[in-house]
Amino acid sequence: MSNDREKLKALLLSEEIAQLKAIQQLLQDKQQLAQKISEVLDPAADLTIAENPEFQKKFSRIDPESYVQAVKTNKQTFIDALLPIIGPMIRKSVTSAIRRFVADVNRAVEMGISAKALRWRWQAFTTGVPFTEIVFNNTIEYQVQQVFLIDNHSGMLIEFAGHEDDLLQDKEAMSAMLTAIQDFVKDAVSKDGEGLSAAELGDDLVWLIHGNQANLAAVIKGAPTARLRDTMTESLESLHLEQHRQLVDESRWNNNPALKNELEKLLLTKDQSSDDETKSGVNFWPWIIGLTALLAWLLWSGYQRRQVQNAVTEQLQSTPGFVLQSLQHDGDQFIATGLQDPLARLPELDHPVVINSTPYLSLADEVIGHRVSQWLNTPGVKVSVNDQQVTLTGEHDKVADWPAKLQLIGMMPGVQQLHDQTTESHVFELAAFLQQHPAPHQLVVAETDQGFVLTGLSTPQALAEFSQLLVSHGDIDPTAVTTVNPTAVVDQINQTPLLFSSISRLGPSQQQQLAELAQSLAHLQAVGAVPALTLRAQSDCQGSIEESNENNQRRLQLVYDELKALGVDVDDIELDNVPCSTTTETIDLSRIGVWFEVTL
Amino acid sequence: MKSKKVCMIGRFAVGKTSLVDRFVKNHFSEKYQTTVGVAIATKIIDDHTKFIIWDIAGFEQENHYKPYLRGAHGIIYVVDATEPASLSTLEEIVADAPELKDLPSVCFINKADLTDDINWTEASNEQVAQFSQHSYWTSAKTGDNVEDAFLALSKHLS
Repeated sequence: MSNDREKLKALLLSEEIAQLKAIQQLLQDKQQLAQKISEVLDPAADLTIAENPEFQKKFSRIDPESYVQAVKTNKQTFIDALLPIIGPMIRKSVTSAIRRFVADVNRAVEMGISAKALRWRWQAFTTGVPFTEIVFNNTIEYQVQQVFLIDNHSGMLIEFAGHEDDLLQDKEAMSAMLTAIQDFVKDAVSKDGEGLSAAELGDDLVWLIHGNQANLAAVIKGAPTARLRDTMTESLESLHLEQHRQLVDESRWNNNPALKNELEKLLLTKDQSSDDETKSGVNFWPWIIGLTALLAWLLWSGYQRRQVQNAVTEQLQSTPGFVLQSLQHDGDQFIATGLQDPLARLPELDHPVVINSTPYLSLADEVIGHRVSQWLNTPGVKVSVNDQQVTLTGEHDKVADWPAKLQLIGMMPGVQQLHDQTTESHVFELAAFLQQHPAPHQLVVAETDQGFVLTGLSTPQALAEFSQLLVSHGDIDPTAVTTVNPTAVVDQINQTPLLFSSISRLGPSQQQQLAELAQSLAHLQAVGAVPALTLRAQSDCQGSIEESNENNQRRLQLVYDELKALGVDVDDIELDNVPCSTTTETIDLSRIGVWFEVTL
Repeated sequence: MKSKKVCMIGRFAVGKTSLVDRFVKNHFSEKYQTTVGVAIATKIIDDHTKFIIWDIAGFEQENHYKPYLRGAHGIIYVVDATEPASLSTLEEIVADAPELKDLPSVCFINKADLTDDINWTEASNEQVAQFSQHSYWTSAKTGDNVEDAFLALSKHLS
């Protein structure tokens, strides 16, 4: 039965059984199995990935441990392999970072002290958002209008996003032209193989980011920051990582939703605040405020100075006897130039003023009054001047020359009319008289019932003149007055030498003579004479010349010391030692001594 | 619609730019203007094909044109029917870049309107056949065969 069944199976399924055995043999023979699978693996993978894109990620899973182990065991190999890649990347990254840093610094400088910057700082403080982020969001103005993803091998357009209407050329032509320019720059200009990274097309800016398979180009209006380049770089890297197959498969170019979506993310628009404060790049407000403050200070200080100058000018112009010609500011003081009457009384000025004046005769009423009062020198008489009309009131002494004085006042410049309303004083006041007519020298006046007794010193002439003034008020007794005739006194002194019989000391008679001399000198000074005294020592030149000269010197010194002891001002005394030229044989006492020479 | 990169190759002054102008703008100018580097033009051939034409400047400088040829889908060789030396230039280019032979191509034998000056022999035809199987007598000035030749390349590309 069993045999029959086997026979039947062999008859019916011999072909299938042979095939089954062959399949079993294939499954058991690993080499054959691998051969067979490899024939379908590539199209099977493509089909699977096309139907299920997530499937690809399973192939791209990386076992970190195996890489770590490999790096540990073959460090140098990895270094050699990575260095050519990492070197340019690092250089590029550093360059980009420096550009960004410079841009940030520029922006920070521009934004440093504006009102808007303060507002943004407050916003950053209250919201916790970094200040730089706020500045960035508020200051950047640009628009990415078109984005091209370009095959860097052929220059063909892989994908495009943006408004085609704004393009200068057909998008494929743009893509091709950018690649052509890129190639030209690489071949002709660039040293390190770096291609074109930016170009200007009219008002637009074109930025190019290079990738291994595709380049990314963006047409930008406005002024983008370096951050946009970073964004573009990141986007291109992402495309290379995640959409690599689509980049290399030309059949998937143009209208690829995945690529287009990625590109459309780059169509950024950054709007600047409507406030124009930062548009110019330079903030003028601090300058305007500073200049305004400076201008205000200058105006205020100028106004203050002008006020002070006006006050000083007014004070000086209102001063009788002073004619102000100019008033100039010089540092902390004023310099006033003008004409000034010697009798003008300048007021106390509130500010330091240097008067640079030329004398003149003022005809102002007040100055005329001063002039008349000073000339009259009469305490009992009051002088008032109004419109150059002089009026005298009060009492004046009974003096003989009063009418003459009035006549002189009438002749004074500026005096148009003189009204004498004074009355003659019937009571003689000696003090008032002496104030008006001071007694000469050391003459002393005493009033007695019989008249006036004069004592003291006076010259005969001065005594006579004073007596003449006083005699109208009473009798005068001048007998007690010591009259000093300067000429006679000088002659007396000059003709009376002090003779010596000894050179060691002064005798009593000699001391007496010098005392009289000192008194005579004092009298001369008392009556106003200013005597100059010279002591001249001589000798008879008997003996030797040297001895004679030494003796002369000793005598001069004796007299000098004695006069000094008597109170004579020795500073004005000159000493003259008359030297001997020849010696004599005989003694002549009349030639030994000190001679006095007084001049007035 | 698929874009196709088409490169025009030929000696200077054979009429490459004039052919492009005639094909794209239907325009011709007697004035000769040297192309510097490369000029790009596009032309929609039909609902499925768009030509991106790379009009590459004269090929006298060694290798300067090679970067522009990368990724080309088709080649248009241009020779001057009145100037045999222009054919020699094409031979040199193909010898220098033999990979061009693998690309679909047509050869424009240009300036066909200058009948009195044509200097073309059977040997010239054989020389052309070395790098392109399809050649057209064209005149950028009159427009003769220009569009046909471009369309022929389009068919070879599809």
